[in-house]
Amino acid sequence: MNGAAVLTLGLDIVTTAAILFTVATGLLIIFGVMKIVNFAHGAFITLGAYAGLVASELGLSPWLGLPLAFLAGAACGALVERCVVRPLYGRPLDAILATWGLGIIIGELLTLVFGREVQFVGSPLSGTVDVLGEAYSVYRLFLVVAALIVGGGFAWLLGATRLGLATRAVIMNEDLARGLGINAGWVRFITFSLGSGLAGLAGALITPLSSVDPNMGVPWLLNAFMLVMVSGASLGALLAASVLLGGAQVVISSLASPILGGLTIVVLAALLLRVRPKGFAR
Amino acid sequence: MSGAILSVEGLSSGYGAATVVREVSLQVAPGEVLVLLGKNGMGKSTLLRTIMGYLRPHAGRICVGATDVTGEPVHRRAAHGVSYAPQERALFQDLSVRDNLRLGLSKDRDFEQALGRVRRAFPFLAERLAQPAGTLSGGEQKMLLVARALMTAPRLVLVDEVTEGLQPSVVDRLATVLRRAAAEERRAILLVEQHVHFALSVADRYAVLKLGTIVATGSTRDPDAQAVIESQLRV
Ligand SMILES: Nc1ncnc2c1ncn2[C@@H]1O[C@H](COP(=O)(O)OP(=O)(O)OP(=O)(O)O)[C@@H](O)[C@H]1O
Ligand SMILES: [Mg+2]
Repeated sequence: MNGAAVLTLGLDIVTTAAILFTVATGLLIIFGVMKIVNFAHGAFITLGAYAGLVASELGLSPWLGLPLAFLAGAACGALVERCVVRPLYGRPLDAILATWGLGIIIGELLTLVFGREVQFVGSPLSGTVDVLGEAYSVYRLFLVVAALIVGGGFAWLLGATRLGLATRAVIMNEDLARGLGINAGWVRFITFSLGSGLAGLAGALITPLSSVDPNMGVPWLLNAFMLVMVSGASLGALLAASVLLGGAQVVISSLASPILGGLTIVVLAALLLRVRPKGFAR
Repeated sequence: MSGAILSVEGLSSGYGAATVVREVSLQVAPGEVLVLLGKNGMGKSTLLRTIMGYLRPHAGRICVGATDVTGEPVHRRAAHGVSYAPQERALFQDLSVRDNLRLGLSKDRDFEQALGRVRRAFPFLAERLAQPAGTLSGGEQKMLLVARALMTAPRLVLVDEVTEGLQPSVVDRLATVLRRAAAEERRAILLVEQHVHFALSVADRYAVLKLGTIVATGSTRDPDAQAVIESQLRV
């Protein structure tokens, strides 16, 4: 392998980690606060991708697709929290089944509206930029910035705001938090809406790299799920997991085959949990 | 009693079908400390948890001031001015002293002023705001717990066995602070205790709970208060 290939590989690892982190953060925050896995996360990703598609077909600026995708995910998440998730709170297995089923329903509705065929969305940033003498996709580099904004935004929200303090209190000891006047139901509603909005945003962010179809969210959901399982409720652990497992995925895809690469995260995460049930958390 | 901050009438509650607290009635007025005594497992914590809203009563009514809060969720009761220092898992161990205190308030805006009151009650806490609560000693944690319960300037304070296993100097400190909160700041305090001396030194009235029922009540200034309580706790 020559220097240029190593550089490209390194950039691929960083950008892949950024994408995985962005896709998984919404799932992580919902899992941390509500102790449930939102298996509709994949459908919200798909929803966000179609929101981006609609924005581009309406001739809007491709940048506008991003907030629209966030809003579509958040609105749908808010509705789902009220109608489906809230009554199942404290029954995590039922919540898994319900959100899984809901994911299928959302997928079918999207098929009904947009059809089964694969569609493409243009990238808001096209072309390449010179990185240490190598041409590299500007859009992939932009995704690193997006991940930093998402991760930094969440860290700020959790660490520096009153809502974040209340959220951490609910994560640590919900009964105690309620006794101090925190409306845990409201915190869960906000969390679920934000997490779903982030899934939508992630969907719109990844579409220029691949394509849009009603099932596009499923592989992303699997990878995000495994990353969250090895990260517990920690954003820092999620970052580490995204870099290490995402890195392994890139290496295996380029050295062996992309098909094996696609399985890397799921397999490695399962092995890791076998050896270390807490994964990267602490 | 009109003017009471807490009035509980005919309250029964428990876990599932099992009744633990049976037809308890009591009142606490502003500026008054009522101590609830009783041996282990008699239902003292269950009564406080029901007053706070963690348990749905099987029967009875709970009023805070003029408001019937019987059907209200826990966080709404806090908003009515009730603060609760539970017996177990009462602090966020991984959060700093400052964040634990902040969580006693509903808005950060009031923090500096409330911190002034904390500084007066427990000066050491104001020096150690950045320290994780879990690294404080047992006695320091209990003081933090009481400080947090007093942050909001609550109308009613529920305190569950705060002196359990503490050294005498800390017990004295807590007695002074709670006394002052009642006498000077006119808070109503319902204290659960097994420590009879502490109870008599802080409270105005006592009630003894046995198998979930109040079996004796009186003023702590009655000459025979200690004898009555001790005989009730023995049998
Ligand atoms: N979560 C629970 N589920 C079922 N039963 C419980 C629960 N908590 C307490 N009990 C039972 O209720 C009864 C009263 O318990 P409670 O904790 O109110 O007693 P207590 O007077 O506070 O005792 P202590 O002085 O030991 O704190 C006991 O018989 C106890 O076993
Ligand atoms: Mg108890």
